[in-house]
Amino acid sequence: MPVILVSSDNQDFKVDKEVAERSILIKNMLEDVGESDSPIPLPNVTAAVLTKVIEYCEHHRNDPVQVPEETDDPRKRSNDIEEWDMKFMQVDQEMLFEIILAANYLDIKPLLDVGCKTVANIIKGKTPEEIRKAFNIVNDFTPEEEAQIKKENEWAEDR
Amino acid sequence: MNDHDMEPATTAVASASEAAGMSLTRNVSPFAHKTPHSTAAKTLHTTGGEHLHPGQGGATSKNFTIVVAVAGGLPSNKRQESDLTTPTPDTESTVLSMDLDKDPLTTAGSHGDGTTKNTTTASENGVMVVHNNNNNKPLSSTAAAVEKEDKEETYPLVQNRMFDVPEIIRSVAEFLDKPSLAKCCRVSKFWSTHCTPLLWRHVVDKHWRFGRFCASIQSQSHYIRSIKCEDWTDYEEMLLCQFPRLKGIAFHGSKESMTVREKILAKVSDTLMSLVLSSVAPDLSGDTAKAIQNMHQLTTLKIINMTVNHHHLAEVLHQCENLDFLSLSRVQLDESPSSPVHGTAVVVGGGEGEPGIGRVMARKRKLELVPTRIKYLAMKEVTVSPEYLTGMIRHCPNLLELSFARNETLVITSEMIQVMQENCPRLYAIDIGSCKQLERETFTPLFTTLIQMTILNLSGTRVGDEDLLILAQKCRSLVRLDVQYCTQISSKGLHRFLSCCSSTLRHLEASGVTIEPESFDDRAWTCSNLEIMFVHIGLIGSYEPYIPSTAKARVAEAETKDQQQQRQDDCETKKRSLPIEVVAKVETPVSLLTRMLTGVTTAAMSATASTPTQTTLSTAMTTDHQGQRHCRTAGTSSNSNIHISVVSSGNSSTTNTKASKESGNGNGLGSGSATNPSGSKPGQDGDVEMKHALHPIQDVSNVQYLGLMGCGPKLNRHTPCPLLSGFRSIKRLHVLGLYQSFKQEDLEWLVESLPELCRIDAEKYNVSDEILGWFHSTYPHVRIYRQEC
Repeated sequence: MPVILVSSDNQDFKVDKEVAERSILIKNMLEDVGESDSPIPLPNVTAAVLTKVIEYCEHHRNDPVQVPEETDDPRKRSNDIEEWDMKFMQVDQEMLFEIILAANYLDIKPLLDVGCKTVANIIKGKTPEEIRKAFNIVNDFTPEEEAQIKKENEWAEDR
Repeated sequence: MNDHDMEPATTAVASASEAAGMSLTRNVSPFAHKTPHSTAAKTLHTTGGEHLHPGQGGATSKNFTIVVAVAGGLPSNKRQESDLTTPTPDTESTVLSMDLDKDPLTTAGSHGDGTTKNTTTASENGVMVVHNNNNNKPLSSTAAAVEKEDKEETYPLVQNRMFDVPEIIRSVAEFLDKPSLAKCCRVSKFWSTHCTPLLWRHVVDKHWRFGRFCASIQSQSHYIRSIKCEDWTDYEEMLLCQFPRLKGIAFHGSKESMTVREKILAKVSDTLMSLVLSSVAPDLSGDTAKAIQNMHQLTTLKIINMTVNHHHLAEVLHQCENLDFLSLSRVQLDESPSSPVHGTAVVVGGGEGEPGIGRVMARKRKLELVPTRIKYLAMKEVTVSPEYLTGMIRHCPNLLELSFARNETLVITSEMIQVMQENCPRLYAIDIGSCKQLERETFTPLFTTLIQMTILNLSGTRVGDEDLLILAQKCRSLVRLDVQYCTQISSKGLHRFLSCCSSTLRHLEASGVTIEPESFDDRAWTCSNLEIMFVHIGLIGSYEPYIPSTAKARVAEAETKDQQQQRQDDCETKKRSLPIEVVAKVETPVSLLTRMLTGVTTAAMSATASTPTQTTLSTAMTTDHQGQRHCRTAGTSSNSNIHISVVSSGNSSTTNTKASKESGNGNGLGSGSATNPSGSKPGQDGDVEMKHALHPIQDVSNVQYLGLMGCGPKLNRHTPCPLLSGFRSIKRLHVLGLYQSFKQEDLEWLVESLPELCRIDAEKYNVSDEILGWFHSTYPHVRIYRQEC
């Protein structure tokens, strides 16, 4: 049975239930509401973003449900991105952020992870100033504060 | 080039011999996946579920409430819950949005363009965007704010809400290494707030080398979840720190006395869940044992390279009720009466004599009263009597995984098997890797009794073909089998195993077991779910060429005849083709193998035998060579020697030329006979014949992950394409252990030949920094991951 999702700009999206349920938020919602034809409003997601998110869910509709791993060590966390996902994430930064926000809101963990990995890969190897530039972030440290932090974390910058 | 080839040749041997030892680390895996207990992933998970925080703006929350109403209020619980788990981000983001709320007008104006998509919420959206947008005139009149003003113009006006949401910056930070995290801490105050805890979460010994680390640790120690202490560690400094959240601690080396360490342990005994003691003292003293007994949260205990008194161990097991993971490696179990003082005599060998057993039995009976909760028990390289082991197993009714790896003197008695069967109903994994003295008679009762096993590690044992057959017939739930370097297993035996084993098998580790495709009969493999397979490909000895049984294969053969001819010509013209020849020889059995493996998604094959010693390496190569020119046995030995030297070092140009010549001739001969219509007489040059008959692309098109090891073949544009053309669906290519350094054109060729490729795993020497930079800018869709040597 298809599910109708309504984007913030009032566009309707008809998707298979199985696809829509890649979103834990929607899945739980459907479970709680039961069989119902009423459309589901997603006031935080625009049509453009929802299109992308649905594309992702369509592609991964048959993936096994992710089991949270007890991996605490960042080194063990794989930064691998599947080829399809990598291509999927080749969007402008604005869209990348929108997708991450939507994945977060809709509770689609694998999509959130892929998005975060993509951002992490952008951050890697950059100086703080380059990171600020890349993401348009304001430096609210005084030079003294920043120097102080640099000094304190020196131990971590060396591999 | 020459220099580089030389080096791998020497390291080949070293690493080959290491491989035997290494294989253990790789395959003693029943426990490998168990990582120290931690909550980070959970934290991440909870926060991941958390919805748009104040940072996301008021509009969000309002709308969200509407959704909740529709949905019957389900996520609100979740939200509350996560709010509890992340107090810091909450306060932080609240402060932020309050700050921003002070100036909604400016923001609404500045944001008209960026938020066209959501007009109803534009102003509120704007509110939270402002923080990054810099168009607001912040009311906060700090020095930083003034700074901000100056820089404003340099930033493009991109809407950037993302990093206002704490859980997202945290999720991103989870994927960053320490140097990147340290840089992120300097980006902004907000970033610092969320990256600093992660920076400090895990601390290892080398960090102590930095003066600033020692100076900062006291103020930051509350972030530390796990700490690894070795020679650099300042234990006195540690004593001054508070570790309210410390979950794991590992002590390595005996530089510091245990008394200081015991004091540290006493400080953290309330929270500690994981403790590692590695070579910290000759023996585990009574005081240390007492310190461990006080850790009631302890779930993981690893003791490495020490002498442990039976009684101390029993006390620990008795007191640490939550212990579910116990690992003793290279531990001498001392059976003398417990002595509270330091310096219990180190019992070297002979500790398992007759007198000991009586006490063991007594201990066993006492322990029986208190069954432990242990789920994972590893007694690796522990010299201990079978009676004691039986007793241990008896006390672990919850046992899931059991390892006796490298217990060279291990005897598995029928009583022990019976106890495992009766007492441990949930046991699914047994690791007896490198238990070399295990009698062959042991395996049959093991396999026929413990039929519920899903993971078995038999690497380096004397398990044989017959045993494997029984295993295949009895253990119908087997998922993972490790038979690396089991010298008693023949190619035929492995084939037979794979022809009747349960279809549940997913992972077969059989490096060091040589598969010779010619020993296969027509039986199809039943392991339709096999995903990962490591084998050494047999280098053809005497073989009967495969006769294609399907029309499709025949067509494939016919089609490839032309290529064959072409290739022959190539060989004639390019006399300097030795590497090609080597590859061709190797690739033949690979193709046969992959033909057997339709449906296998991962196949890692090592092209040459990376057996522990050079002698065996040479032998393998000799076999290979002889196999190649089976029809001309006379005088091959000298030739093969040439080949070996070329293959393994490849640095002597004179040898190279000579050998190439030989090889060219040989190939010419072989190809000549290959044109014979029957094409199946023994004694032909095998590589040419078999390659084409067995290389229809569709047969191996499922392989997505190909591993190549060994010092033989070179992957470059001169490699005859069939080596890779059968693997056009490869997404990941693993060349760790392939002794070559790639040039630009080699990589170009690889990427062009493998359209699906998106990842290459290589070692540092495979790809130079320069090439890496060039590659990533040229082929952004393919990543090369280099491992440190």
